[in-house]
Amino acid sequence: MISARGITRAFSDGEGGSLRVLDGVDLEVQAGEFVAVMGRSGSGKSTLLHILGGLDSEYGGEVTVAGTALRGLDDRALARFRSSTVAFVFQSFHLVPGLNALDNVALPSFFGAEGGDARAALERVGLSAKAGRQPAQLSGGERQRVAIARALFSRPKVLFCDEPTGNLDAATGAEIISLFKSLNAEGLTVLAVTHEERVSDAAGRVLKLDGGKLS
Amino acid sequence: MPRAACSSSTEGSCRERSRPAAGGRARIERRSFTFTFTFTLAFARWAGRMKASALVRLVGLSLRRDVRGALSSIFGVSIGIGALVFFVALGLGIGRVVREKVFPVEAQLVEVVPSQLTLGAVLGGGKIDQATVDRLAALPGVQHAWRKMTVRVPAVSRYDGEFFGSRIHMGLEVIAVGVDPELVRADVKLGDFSDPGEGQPIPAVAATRLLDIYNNTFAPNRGLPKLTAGLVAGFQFPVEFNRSFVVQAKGGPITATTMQLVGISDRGILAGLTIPLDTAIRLNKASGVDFESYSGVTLQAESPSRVPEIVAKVKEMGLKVDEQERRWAENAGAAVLLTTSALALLSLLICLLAAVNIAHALSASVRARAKELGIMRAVGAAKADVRAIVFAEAATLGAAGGALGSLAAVAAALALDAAALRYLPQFPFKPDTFLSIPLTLPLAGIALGVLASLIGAWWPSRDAAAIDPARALAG
Repeated sequence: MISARGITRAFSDGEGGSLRVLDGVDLEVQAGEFVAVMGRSGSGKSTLLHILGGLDSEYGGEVTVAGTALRGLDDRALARFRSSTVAFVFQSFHLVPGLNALDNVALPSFFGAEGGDARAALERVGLSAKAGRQPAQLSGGERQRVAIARALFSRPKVLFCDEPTGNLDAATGAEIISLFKSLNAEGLTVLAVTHEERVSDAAGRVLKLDGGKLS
Repeated sequence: MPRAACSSSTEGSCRERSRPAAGGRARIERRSFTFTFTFTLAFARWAGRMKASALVRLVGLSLRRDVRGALSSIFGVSIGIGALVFFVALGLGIGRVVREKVFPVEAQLVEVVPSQLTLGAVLGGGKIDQATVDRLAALPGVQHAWRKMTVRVPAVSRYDGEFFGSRIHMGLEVIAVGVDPELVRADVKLGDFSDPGEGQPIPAVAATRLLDIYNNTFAPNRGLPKLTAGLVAGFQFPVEFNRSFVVQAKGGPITATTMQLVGISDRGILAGLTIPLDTAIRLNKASGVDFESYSGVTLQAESPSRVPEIVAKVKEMGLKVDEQERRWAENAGAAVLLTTSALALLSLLICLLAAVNIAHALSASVRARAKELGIMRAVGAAKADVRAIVFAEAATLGAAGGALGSLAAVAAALALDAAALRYLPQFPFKPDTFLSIPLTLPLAGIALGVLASLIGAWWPSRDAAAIDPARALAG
């Protein structure tokens, strides 16, 4: 499902030099797997996630996700890839203020994603009763559920999670992890980057990112 | 394109009854709409993947978040567009008055007069006889040639009697010019404007402008009634030819007769009365003065575009073209155009400032919404979609500002018009309205408001599209 070969990524260090965050990362994830990538803060976990999810194009190496080779895709094709093949869940939820829960879930449809059912997605995460609430009227756990529902909206093949429980208390975090496990059990491929063991414990496979390399 | 033909002509008395600048204005409007349409098409292509309803919702969401900023942007655009629409409407209105009332020149007419400097029989420019008229009529592009002959003896009118409900006692010098009846026949309300013969009232046509001057200057000052073309038709007054209050009369007999006003015409001579040509010939003959040469010929071209060619041929014949009226009309038109252009330019500068204001506002908005735009990119928005959102916001502000400005301008124009008509004293050529507001003007105002806003949104939209979603979401 995910194939990454020799991924490199460097950032400017602000003093004329460059800081290599990823240094030849190779990764293979099979369809239906739940993989956790662990590492310290600043180890490049999120950067790897962004590259695999088509949010970052400034990398070296080759990435193929669900049969789509990302290298060479133009901006429009990458956007289509992000709206239909993959989905993201972030630590900070990243809901759009001013849009209620239902509209936040349906946000991908604003940009051409088709076939989604926002109400069904909200129901899947147990929030159908709060469809009309604004993000500010929801708890942290509920916001993350809305974010997950948004990720599920266009029925992606791969779900990328970036520290999905980082802003949640233990009980709420456990609920979210349980939700991921449930989605994975339904066949969704999940790749989560985290430094929390409670997430890695739920994963079927755990990889460590250190010194720009995956092991 | 009567205006273009007139302007390109360095010669000739271009008279225009039709709206001369209408073609040019329509052309400019077509161009501005074509430009806006092309811009909108390009915009739509950018926004192609986004549903219109989604775009509307996101724009509404963004504008609701910063109502004060949105109102400020709308206000800026509305000031510029309002000023522009108002000044252009005023310019169009004043221009129309100049063209249609003050100097109602017709683009197809050329006034030919004898040259003061003559080469005698070689070119025949010294006087206009029937042979010359025939040659003029035969020129390529000439449709009609109407002869004119001034009554070459002085004339006075001594009136003592009822004048439309008032009693007047006055004496006036009368200048009479005979013309081929067809020149003014369309405006004649009584009879067929032919020579009635000796002892019968002479049909006379007065100039529209003369009536206007009478109504707005002469009549109010003397407590006389205002007159209309319908009212004056049939009015008779005594005239004595070969008599004058100011110059010495010729030696011949004095011919006492009456004149009867039969109509009011734009083609009537301004300082006098227009009578049938045969009458002028008869009167000149009776007074023993030249009754064979004409004092002028009015040529009607097949189209305004033929005027320059006709003027050149007329000059080759050693004759002169009376350009005075055309020059007055052109000078007045140029003055109006210049003033309007200056005010319109000022308004455009205000629009430019509004565009800059919108650019600043949108730039700040884009910076503040970097994370939100990053989310949109993450869930499937392309750079073009993000750009389309910013453009749509700007277009909404521009359209609202343009509509508001246009509405305010129309309201201000109507109010000013009403006030001017009510409180300004009567004066010659005072129009029924000082402004001309064709429907396309406020529409063009809205289009220009949108255009100015889209220009202002150009850089913010680029900044928005350039947002790195990975960095924005990580931040």
